[in-house]
Amino acid sequence: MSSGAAPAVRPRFLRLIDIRFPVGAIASIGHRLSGLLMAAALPLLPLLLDRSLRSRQQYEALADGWRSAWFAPLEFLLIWAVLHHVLAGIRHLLMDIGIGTDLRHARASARAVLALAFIAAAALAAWRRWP
Amino acid sequence: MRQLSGQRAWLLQRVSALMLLLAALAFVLFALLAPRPDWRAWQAFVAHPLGASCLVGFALAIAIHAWVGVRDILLDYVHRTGLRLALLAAVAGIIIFTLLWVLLIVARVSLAPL
Repeated sequence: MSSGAAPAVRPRFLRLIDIRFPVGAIASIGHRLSGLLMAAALPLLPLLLDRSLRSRQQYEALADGWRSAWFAPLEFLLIWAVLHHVLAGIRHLLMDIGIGTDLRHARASARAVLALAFIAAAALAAWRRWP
Repeated sequence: MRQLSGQRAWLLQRVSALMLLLAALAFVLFALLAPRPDWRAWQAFVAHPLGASCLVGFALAIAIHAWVGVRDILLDYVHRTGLRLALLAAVAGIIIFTLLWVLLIVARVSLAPL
């Protein structure tokens, strides 16, 4: 499907491994996925707030327990979700006021959002665990 | 009949997004510039009217933003009316429950004798 012209015979069924989403679509799906992930984690917020305020011991325990190795994958996922959602969200807000809407810039910013969120999340998760 | 334009949801989504962006910026600045507060300072912050307002405003913005976002996703992908309504109701219930919980915690800490 790499040639520009439409194929003489159109595919009769969806071959998922042949479908290539444009990079803007991937950034957009990531925005939805990360938002859904954070929405699912929403009840964690009052739970942590409550425990952090109940006693000094629980406050300290939360700060330390957050560093346990068991938490690392979830921590990476949540940090990625926040970063990707914020960056892709800023991209959408800028597009709302007409900045970066042409195809070339939109693709470049989509790529930047995808890469930056992933790299920064990995770096942050690693840095927090540095001995 | 009110026009079903979705403009109000669109605007709410963006206003709450800007509020959350501001909160995130403040959080990053504090994390970078100030040492982690001890428990007493954290409690005093939540008990102070200004801190309590920040926290409640943040919770409100998150609740609005999450509701419009998850609602958009459900409206896009779930087409069976019964299932859609059930999921929307469940999401609304969880968000209201979360918001009330935050309000109760802030009220408890604010009103407790120090």
